[in-house]
Amino acid sequence: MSVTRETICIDIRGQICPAALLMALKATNEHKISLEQGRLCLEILTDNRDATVTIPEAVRNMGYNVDVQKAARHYRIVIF
Amino acid sequence: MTISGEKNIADLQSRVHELENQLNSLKKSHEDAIGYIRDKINQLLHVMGTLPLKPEELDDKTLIQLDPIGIIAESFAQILRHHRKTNEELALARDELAAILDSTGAGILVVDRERRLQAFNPRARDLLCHAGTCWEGDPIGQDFHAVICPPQETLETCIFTKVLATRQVAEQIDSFRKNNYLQVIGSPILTETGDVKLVVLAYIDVTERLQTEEALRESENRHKLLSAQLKAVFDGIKDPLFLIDKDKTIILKNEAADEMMSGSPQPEGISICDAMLPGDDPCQESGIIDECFRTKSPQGMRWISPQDRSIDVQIFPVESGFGTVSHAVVAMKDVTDQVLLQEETLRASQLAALGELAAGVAHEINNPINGIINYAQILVNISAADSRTAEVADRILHEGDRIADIVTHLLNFARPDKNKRVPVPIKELFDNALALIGTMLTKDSIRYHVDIEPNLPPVLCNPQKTEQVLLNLLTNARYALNEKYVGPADNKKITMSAKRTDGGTLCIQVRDEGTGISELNLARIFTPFFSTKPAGKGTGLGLSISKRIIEELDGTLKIDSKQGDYTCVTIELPAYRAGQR
Repeated sequence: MSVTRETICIDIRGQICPAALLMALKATNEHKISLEQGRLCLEILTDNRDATVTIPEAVRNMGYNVDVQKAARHYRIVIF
Repeated sequence: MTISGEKNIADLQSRVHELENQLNSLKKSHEDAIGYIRDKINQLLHVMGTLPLKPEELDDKTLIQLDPIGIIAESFAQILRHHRKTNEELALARDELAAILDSTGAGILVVDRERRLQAFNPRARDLLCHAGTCWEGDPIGQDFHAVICPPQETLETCIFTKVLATRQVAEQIDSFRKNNYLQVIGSPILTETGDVKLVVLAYIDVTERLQTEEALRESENRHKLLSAQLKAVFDGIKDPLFLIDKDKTIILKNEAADEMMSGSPQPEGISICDAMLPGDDPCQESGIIDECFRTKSPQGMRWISPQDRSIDVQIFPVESGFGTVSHAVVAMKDVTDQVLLQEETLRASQLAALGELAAGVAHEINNPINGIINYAQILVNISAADSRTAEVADRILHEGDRIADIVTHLLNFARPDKNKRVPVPIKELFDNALALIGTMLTKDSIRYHVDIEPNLPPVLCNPQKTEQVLLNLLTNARYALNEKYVGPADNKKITMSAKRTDGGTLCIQVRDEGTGISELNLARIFTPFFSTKPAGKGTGLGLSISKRIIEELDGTLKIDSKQGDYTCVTIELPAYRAGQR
């Protein structure tokens, strides 16, 4: 039985990598309990290509699942 | 301005200067601190795998507000927690794997590309050492080439080399010493780039299994050979043999059995009763098969088949080894000829005795009859020519001659030389047969007519046997006529004829206008012991013996008949040509 997760969307389009990574990590830290309990997924919108590598690697190391999707003019990084 | 005022100004200026210096020092310290923070943030970001922060990207104030160090520290805390958890899981998995490795029946070695041992289980040590490839001390890190590969290593012989080359799972049987076989399965563990990192070798001792398989194969071959020999023996036996189970289902049958059943192809697994005996089921009726299974002892019976064959049926029990009879062998032997021979021998001996008796009686009659004839002749001689006495004496003379004639024929018929073939005029054969039965025909008001083509050559035959056949045919004709007509009748007659055939043989026919023979009976007419006459009136052997006699004389005997109308027996025999013996 799948649990419906709440989705929080964080738009960091316009931010380049180190700042984008820090923003994503900040959001992940803030919601770590909901994420660990599987009640939440974070949707990060970014247009920085480097961030599609650094963010997933960092959150995977933290023990989360990551899915990167390509949208029209940006990327969707889903952390769950 | 006073001196004290000037001093105060100087003091203030000095104080301002001092404060300026302090401010500059503080600014420098602040810049150093910010620089240090940015440097450490960049160091942390580098650890996180990303680029350093550019000063224009985040001003100092925003940087402090954002608190990157706090963020990264918190992230590291999570990373550490995750790694700890992962480590715990890995430790558990390692313990599980170790337990599996230790408890499995297979010996397992893990070697790296350089053939250095990375892991093993105790079973591997036992198996390989037993197979003749031992090691000493702590094996981890040792070069295991000599343990896992035979001395003359090739791609085919060393499974490690094979797995390394193909990067695929391989399997083979290794033998490091005589009579010891290890089944080994090699599996590669690949790196992300697809190179072989480690090779896992699993060993299972299959010596016993292979030896068992070999023994089984040998046993199977022996069994096949035995089976073939048995089949040859089975088929070599010319009497039908069947192996049946308790349900009487045929399990095995020999070629003679197939022949016996031919004409009606039978499906597999049919009951012997259904296969052999449609509509006539002696094994059911007599119950000898059931009896054999029940008593575990052989059973036997004489069975007359629907084709009037005498079949000896023997049932032998086959014990299963648990004291029960699981199968039975049914052996059938057609003893018709043997029975026929016994009957014929009996009949022949009876006939021989009768012949001897007849010959003896005939000889004894000859003497008084000669006396009667002589006295009658004297009476004729001394009586007046037309007197009543002369007439009676003449009749006595005539009848006496007839008795003498009959006696002569009887003596000839009983003469033992029955196998010699001689040329005989057909008329003589007819006359001799009629001499013995003619009186009886006349007594029964049966007229007989002999029609012999002029200038026929003599027939080459044994006269005694041929007369026996004719006598037989005339007896049958007489019976058929008497059955049809109780008293005298126009058609109560027998025609005996003889003529030459187109093939140069002689054709003899005996035809009567009696009861005739039905088509059904006609098909079985030559079967020994087949008779339509009531018990005691016929043996059922006459026609079968007659046919055999004629065939022994190189002739043929055929019967044509219409029920209620007539019967015509046609015999063809070779004609005698001058000089022929």
